[in-house]
Amino acid sequence: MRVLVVEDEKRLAENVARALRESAGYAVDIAGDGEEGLYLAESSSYDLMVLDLMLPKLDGQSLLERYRKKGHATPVLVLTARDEKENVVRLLNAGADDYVSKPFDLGEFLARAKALVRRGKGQRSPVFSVADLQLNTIERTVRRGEKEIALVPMEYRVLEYLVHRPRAVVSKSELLEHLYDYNWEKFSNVIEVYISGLRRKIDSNYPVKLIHTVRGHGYVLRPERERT
Amino acid sequence: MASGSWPQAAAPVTTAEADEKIAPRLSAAERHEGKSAGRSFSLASRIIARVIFCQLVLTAAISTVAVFYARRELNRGFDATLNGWAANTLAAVRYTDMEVPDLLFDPSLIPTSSNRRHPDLFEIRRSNGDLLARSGAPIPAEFEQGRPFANFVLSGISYRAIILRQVPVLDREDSISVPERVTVIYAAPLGGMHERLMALGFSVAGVSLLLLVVVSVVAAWGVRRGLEPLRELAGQAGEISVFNWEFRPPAEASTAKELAPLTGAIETVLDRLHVSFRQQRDFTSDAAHELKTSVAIVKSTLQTLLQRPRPENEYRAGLESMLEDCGRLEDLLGRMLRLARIELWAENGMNRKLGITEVTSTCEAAISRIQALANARNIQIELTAPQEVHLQADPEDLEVIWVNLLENAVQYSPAGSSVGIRVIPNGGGTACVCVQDSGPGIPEEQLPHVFQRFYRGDPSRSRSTGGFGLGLAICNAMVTAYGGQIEALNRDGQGTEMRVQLPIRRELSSI
Repeated sequence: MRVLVVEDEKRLAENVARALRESAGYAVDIAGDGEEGLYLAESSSYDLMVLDLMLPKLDGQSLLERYRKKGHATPVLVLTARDEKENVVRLLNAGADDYVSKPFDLGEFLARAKALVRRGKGQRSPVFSVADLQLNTIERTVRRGEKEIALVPMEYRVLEYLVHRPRAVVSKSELLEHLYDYNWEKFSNVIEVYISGLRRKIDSNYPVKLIHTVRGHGYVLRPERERT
Repeated sequence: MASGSWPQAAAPVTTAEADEKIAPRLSAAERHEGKSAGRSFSLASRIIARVIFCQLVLTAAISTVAVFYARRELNRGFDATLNGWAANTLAAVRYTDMEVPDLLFDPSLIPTSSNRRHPDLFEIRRSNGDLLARSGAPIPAEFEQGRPFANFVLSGISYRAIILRQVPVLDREDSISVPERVTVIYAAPLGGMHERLMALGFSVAGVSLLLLVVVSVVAAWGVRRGLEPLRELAGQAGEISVFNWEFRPPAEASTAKELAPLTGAIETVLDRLHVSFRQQRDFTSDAAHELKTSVAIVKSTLQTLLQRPRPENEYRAGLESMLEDCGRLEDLLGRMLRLARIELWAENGMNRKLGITEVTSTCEAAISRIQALANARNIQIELTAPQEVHLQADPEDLEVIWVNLLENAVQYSPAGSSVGIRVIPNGGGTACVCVQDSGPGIPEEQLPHVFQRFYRGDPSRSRSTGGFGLGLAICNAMVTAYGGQIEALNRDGQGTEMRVQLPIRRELSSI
């Protein structure tokens, strides 16, 4: 998952980014003002935008309105110092999905961020199941049947993205774009490495295979009995 | 309201709370209005009462004039009739048919009296004064010299009498060449005329009073109708609240000559109140943003550190950055409190004892305080002070102004450039200090706002230099408290100049 943090207070942006990286395993980009934020939001695809309201150059509310006007559906979580009713109403009406008021609790912030990412993909439960595979996004654990499977962080992130979009064909570039921050071009060949690692760990010992390659298109997560 | 804003704003007050704080003030005004209602009166009733009073005076005047005029006319008519009757009586005097004709009064020629109960009286005397004829009792009328009429009272009845002095007898006799002369007095009771006058007076007064009632009702209706715009205006004004600033005076209220000044005044006051209320709200929201963000940074740093076990160096780095953040928070609070204190002084009319201070030395002190920041950015600070200037001021206050101006100038000037501070003895009771930077200047549209609290033309830049947009607001508040002026000017392509004018001697009335 890839998150854009638009926050001009550098230290706060870094703290938020660090929490998202460490506790949710998301890739995070930071924009220091409204114009940069809008540019990044429109030029890459994000799974979540974290938006401060008082921003230089372009304030958060205007950014949000412009962004939504162009039809972007990425969930937006607003950081605001003003949590009076009319402000909250205005924010939600401008297209925000949720808000936390400063000074916020980092745990609550992360929970709301994860919930928004799930809802953005049309999912409700924080525990995803495909056949007998279970992925718990809160504990960040993966099981197949009764057996807990240990994954390296990047493998987990690839699998997490795939379970958020079950049965959909996910291209390699989509994976790259959603799993890395804006330096992602550098990593163009690593996806195959993680996919083969995942296959080895969750598919090789089971008759029902979950990860499949659609040649020329990408990968798809669905239960399929191995043809013999 | 703007200057008294601080005590509320220093705490993180939400606007909803601020509304609640202001709402009682408005209702307090209403209560005050209610308290004075004991002595309240109706403007409409007053006007109506005055109209009725005028009408009453007019009615009385008209009735009096009418009665007096009628009396005069009636008197004239009565006198003419009296004259006629006297002439008739004279005609009843004739000569006898004897050899030497003598005068004779023939009562059969007297016309019947108009008033049967109180018959007319007459008296005819010869030219020598001998009585020729008389109706009955002697007539007690006393005629003034040369006056033909006289009034008298006989047995309770008012009479008016006419005297025809020495008039020739009308009867002719051939043997008498010079007709004899007689004096005729004729009197008739006035009773009928008095009654008629009374009747006239009553009918005029009665009709006038009836008209008065009608006019009063019409006037009451008219006045109430006429005051309708005022009532509407009051209704509109009453609907104004902190949630509804809209004031729509009725069209008549702004065109009526009497109401236009009131409507205009309400609109002006309302505009000013609205602006200062909005500024207050903006300020509260800005202050809340700054304070909450600063707390959010510290809190998020702490929570990030606690999320998982970390090596010691990470804890140390986190703590160090938190210490830095706390310093920033402290700086913000310090500035907000300083601004509050200055505004409190200004509100209280700066009632502090102030000595005489030499300006250049305060500039030098300010430069030494800002030197470290200037050195870090490799910026030269040049002081120009051709002569000593003395002001009545606290040296620390002056230093606060110069430090904030210099800090601002250093932050906005490119590294390696220079910042100038000039002390100019103006003459004319003021001294001028200018601080010039070598920055890019301030866009024209931002110039009027640079002294507003929390205003940042380009927030990203001042944020990166650690500013809160309070430095120039502090300068402005301080200069204003001293009764001076501060302005920001763009020097074409050579940066910005901040010009401070301060009075040499503080005038108490200047605030």
